[in-house]
Amino acid sequence: MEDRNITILYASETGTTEDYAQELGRTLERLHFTVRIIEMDLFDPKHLLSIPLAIFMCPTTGQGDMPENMQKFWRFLLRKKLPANLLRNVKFTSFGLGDSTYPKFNWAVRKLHKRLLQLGAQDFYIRGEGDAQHEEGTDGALIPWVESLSSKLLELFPLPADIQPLPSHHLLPPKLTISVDDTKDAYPFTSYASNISLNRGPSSFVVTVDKNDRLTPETHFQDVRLFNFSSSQPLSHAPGDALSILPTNPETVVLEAIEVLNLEINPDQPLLIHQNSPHPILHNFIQPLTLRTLLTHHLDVTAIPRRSFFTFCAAFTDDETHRERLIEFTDPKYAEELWDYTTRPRRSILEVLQEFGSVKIPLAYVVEMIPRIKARLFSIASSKEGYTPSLTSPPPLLESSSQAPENNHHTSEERNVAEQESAVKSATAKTNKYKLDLLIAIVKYRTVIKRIRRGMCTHYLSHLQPGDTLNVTLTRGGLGSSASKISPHTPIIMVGPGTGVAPMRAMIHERIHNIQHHPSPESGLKPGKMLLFFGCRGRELDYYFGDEWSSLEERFGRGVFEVRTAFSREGKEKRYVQNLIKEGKEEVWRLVADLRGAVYVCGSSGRMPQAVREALIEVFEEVGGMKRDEAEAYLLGMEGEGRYRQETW
Amino acid sequence: MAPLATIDFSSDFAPAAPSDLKSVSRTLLLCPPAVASKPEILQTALSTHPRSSTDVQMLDRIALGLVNLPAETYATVILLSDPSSASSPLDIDKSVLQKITTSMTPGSRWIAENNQALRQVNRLDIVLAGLVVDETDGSLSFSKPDYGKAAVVPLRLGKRKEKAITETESSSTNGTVTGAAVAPEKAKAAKEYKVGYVDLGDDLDPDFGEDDDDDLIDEDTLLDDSDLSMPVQQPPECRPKPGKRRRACKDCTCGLKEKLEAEDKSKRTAADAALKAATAVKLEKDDLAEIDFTVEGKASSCGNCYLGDAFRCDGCPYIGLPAFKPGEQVRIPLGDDQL
Repeated sequence: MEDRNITILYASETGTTEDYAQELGRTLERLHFTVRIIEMDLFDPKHLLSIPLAIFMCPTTGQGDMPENMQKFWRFLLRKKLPANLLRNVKFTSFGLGDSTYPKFNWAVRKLHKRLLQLGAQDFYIRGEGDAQHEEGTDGALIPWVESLSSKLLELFPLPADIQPLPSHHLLPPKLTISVDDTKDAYPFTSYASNISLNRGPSSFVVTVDKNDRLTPETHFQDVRLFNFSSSQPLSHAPGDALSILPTNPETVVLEAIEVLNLEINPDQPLLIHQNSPHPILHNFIQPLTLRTLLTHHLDVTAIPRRSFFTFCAAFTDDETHRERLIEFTDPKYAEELWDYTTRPRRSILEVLQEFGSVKIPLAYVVEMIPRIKARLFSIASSKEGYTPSLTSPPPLLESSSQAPENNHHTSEERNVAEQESAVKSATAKTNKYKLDLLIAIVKYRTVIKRIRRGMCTHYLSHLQPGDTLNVTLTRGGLGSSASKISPHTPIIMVGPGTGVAPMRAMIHERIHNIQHHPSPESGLKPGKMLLFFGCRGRELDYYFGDEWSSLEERFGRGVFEVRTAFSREGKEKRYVQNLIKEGKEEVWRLVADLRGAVYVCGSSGRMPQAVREALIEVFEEVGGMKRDEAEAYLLGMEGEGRYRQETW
Repeated sequence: MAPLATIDFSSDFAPAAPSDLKSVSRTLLLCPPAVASKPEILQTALSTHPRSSTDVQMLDRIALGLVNLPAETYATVILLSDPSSASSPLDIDKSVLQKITTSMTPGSRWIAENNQALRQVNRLDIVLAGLVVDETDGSLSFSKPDYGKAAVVPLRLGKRKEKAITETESSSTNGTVTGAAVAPEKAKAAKEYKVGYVDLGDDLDPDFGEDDDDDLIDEDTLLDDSDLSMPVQQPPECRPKPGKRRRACKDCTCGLKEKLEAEDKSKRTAADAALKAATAVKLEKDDLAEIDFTVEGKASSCGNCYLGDAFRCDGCPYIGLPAFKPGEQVRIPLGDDQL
């Protein structure tokens, strides 16, 4: 056979795309291709000239942006002086992972694809675009795309008549070998496994948990926490940005996994790992590496298994009943059955392995089959400049400036900061100076499976104790850039029901800080009004930061900040944020149309964002006198100008 | 613009089959939507052109941005037409003309089987797209001038050029993938670099730390309106099929999600009730619920219940409980608290 080499280049913000890249790699190996899988930023762009066949996979982040770990690669491709035929020998295709609720759906892959074409590369197969909103998720588009891609590749690179593609349940050799390191002693205590954290690259930093407080009453069904974190290094986030947190498995899950996997090795004996490929599937192992640390820090054993997982399992059982059923699950014909068995009840990998007890996975394949624990993103609920741990107690700055209005604000501010700092230092030398807050709803629900389902990361977070440390990174959010670019004189309307208020709080803190620190009496311009629409179930249940909002209204007046609330479970009629918008339609119109203000919408996806859009359109019709289509066009225009931003999850 | 309904998905993914050998001159057959309904026209055209070096593209698919033409690939472009409807106007818009022009090699020609067809194309647009109109002996064609001969050649010191070439070559020899089959092509490419090629030694340096944003193209200009308004590329296989049960989208707003959840909830409640009746089960607030499967009764009528959910029938009282061994007492961790 001639050379059959394919390079898969991926970018992955949380690890999801990497999983898909690995899966695609296995599919292509079954077509007798030699596959290299490399993260874009770890790939020397010079080598683009020597790869004849490439497949690019990348997600879109934020507002149509390229993910972090392809920035270097992307900046290379964007160089103006690259000749238009640089990549003339490269044949490629690409697949994007996106979410069609975002206006810039899959823009990253579209830009990448276009630029590669501009540089002379030829697309040998149509670009694919996955959509998280598809009823089957990314798979909905990816599976058929991969199937047609496979046929195209077999057409372009036919196999000799005597060689067939390997069937999908054919077991490929492991990508790595793992053995027990007998030269070292086993760890006598298990605590070593939880006191370590994974290196998350040069842009990561350590935060310490200062507080983990439940905001909702114990009797309320939802457990929502306010986390205060602190860092010894200055932070660089803007409103709308998110903190990326890599959770670990709790000890109970690790113990269960050790039992179910039944590997018959000492979980605390150090392991030796040997990568069988120059492009390792896991390049960043935790140290020390034992089965316990693998299960604690790397392997997401409570994830919902993907189809490929069953493919592997079928190879590792001697039980005919089990094998038959496992192979059935891998058959696209039985996609419904697989979905009913896995995704619909949110069944975990461990639960599947418990049920298919005859499946005995060799250690090397355990690492390959079980997806990696992925980082999760949480909108930051505070601003770096205006971090005021408690806005309810009057900050010294305000007192001093009101007592001595003739004072130069900057001077008094600097003095106060210095005073605060020295006070903090003398109190506890170890207290970190830079702080940030997260507002997080702990995910817990039931399905048809008896055992309660939990969000892996929020479960991890809910157990954090003050003093615990985490390795985190920052991710630009959908509201980020526009919020910081917007003039402090432009009014903003914030629609943030529930935990959607988190990035709004960051925005409010930033602007309050700017008002306090950069007043502009000369220009005579007043700060733009901040109007917050907040909705939740009840004032006493889940009205996050209620006291903070009241005190801001009092201190700065409703011309600067105003909150309007809808409590859905109080009163006869259920009221939501969209009702507030309609009730305040005159003011909404004045702020949006007359004063060219901006609107931000955050919160859970689903009906809320749609209802808010509808309410705004009705306001434009009723107060602005627009026709329906004009009102819709006006909202689209606002979106185009960055005056309407939405971030939902 | 042609209606979407004319898009032929079955003949889809054969575009721009890339030439393995650049030296083979490729031909592009352009089909207006009218030809789509008359496969014999295409058949006739294809019979005179070797399939291996000929690509067929529908004009409306190019216009919709569903296909991308490879750059500088075609030495000949042939516009097909339906002789029986020669009078029907053929509207090729400027963006399509630009795409076709880009796909033509310098010195290549765009002709038509039927002269009349090319006359329907706006000549001004043709010129604006960068093509030259040739009309000799009554036959009309558009050609793409070869400016290559007049290209500006940057001055480079010989030493650097040699260095660049050595680097390219060494990267292909110690590179992991380049096979023997590609080697002659590489050599050719390297040779071409000598003629006014950027010096790779500096420009392909992977360390971009020093990069000035001014040296980069603005990525926001990459996508034009047609790229952005482009329909989501959804293969026909994943469109909803008749008879297939709908699943709720992640961002479900239509009520399906709630409906499925309610279904699951009632299934759970029914199973709990059935289980309670059938076995000695305590599904209380305790951390662990004990289910005694040793109790005689309706523990399993199909004999599969013990195998787990993957094997249980619809309506099985054990749904959602782990697999167990027949006759064994099982402890099921229910979690540390209630919802």
